[in-house]
Amino acid sequence: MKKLLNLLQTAAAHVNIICAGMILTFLVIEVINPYAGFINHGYTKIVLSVWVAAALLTSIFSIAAQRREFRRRQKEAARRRQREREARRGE
Amino acid sequence: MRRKKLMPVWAIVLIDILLTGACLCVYALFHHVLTWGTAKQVMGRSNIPTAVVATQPPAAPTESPAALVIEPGPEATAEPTPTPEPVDYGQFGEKFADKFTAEGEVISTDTLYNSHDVRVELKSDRVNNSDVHILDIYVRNIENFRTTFAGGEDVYDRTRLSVGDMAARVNAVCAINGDFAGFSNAGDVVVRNGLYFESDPEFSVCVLYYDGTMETYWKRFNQPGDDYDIQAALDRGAWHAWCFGPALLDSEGHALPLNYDTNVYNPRTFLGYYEPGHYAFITVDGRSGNNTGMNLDQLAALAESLGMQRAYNLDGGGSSHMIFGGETISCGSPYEPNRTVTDILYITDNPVPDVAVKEG
Repeated sequence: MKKLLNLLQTAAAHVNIICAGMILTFLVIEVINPYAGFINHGYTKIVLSVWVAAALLTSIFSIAAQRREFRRRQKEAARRRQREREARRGE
Repeated sequence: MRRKKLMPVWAIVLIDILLTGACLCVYALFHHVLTWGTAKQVMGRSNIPTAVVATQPPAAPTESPAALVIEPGPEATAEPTPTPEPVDYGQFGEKFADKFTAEGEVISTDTLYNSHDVRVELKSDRVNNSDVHILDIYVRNIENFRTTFAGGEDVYDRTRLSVGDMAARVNAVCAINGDFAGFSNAGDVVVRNGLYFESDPEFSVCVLYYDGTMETYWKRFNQPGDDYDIQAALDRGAWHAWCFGPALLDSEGHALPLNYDTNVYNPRTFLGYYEPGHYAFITVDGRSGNNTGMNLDQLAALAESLGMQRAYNLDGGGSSHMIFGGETISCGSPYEPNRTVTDILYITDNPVPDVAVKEG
């Protein structure tokens, strides 16, 4: 399960970059030749939907990782304080 | 146990760029190539009235005073009064009687084609550092002003053919490229020779009606106007309808202050309208050493200077193409002289439907 989540997290991050690159390309083409009709096309809406899903996943993973890191730091800090107290008692 | 190595950053960036490129290629495949391959069906037909044949007014009967009544003698034979034969002036023949030749007479030179039903005169000028070619057109009937697709006038699909090949197939007196119907992706309006295929306008619309009038429907220069309604257009007798634009002139024939794409100078094609029966095909050369092309504001100013009532921009750039007398007068890009397009506008002396030839 952990492996799958890691894979999903990596994939979502890269899909974000790929979709951003595609939409950026369409925006540039739209400026040069609006008659190409990339931005309003149905396929572009699919790319946008995939981008939104990838962005959501990436955000959820990022928030989860932040909270995990926060809890890990809290635990480490608690362990460090415990060790210091024990060291002072030993003295 | 082997330690897993992290992929270097440059490798990740390269892979992402390659994947983005691959996705863009797949998108382009579906966007340009693997879209609707079969022809779109005719959705309906315009309410086109039957042609009115104008007749000479009957001779007014002369009333002789009673004192002058002369009774014919016994030898005199009564000659029947000849019945005036109806003269087919066509829709615009009477108004432009001085523009057309007598029945059967055709004048064809490098710059003029003049027949009983059609008059097309080629004029070239130099405006804004570009060659401008103007076909001044008079038609006796609106049916002399036709359009066709690459696959035939009833085959609306994405088949492409050069303007010259299509013009040759229909024996056109002259032709220009159309609005590249079928490739808009953003929305199209397609009515051709009274056949209605599609109406989903994303850009401003131009309709040529069977009575010879031409209207442009626009809002903020390149959006379909609120007053455009396909059913109303069909009821009124839409003969052709295009969706490309922008419209270049307002309702009083003044250049619209388009003010966009001001730095984009391209070869251009546009359709001009003076009055029912009098039209113009115009192309502007560009993308070559001594032809810079025009931007849309310059195009609008040109249309106004020519005294048009309506003017509508069609596909330009490499698609811009003009044929007269079987010869290429103007082609958008010298690097792509036979660029294929999906549709043309043309003038014909022999208005017969260009129906697709079925093989086998």
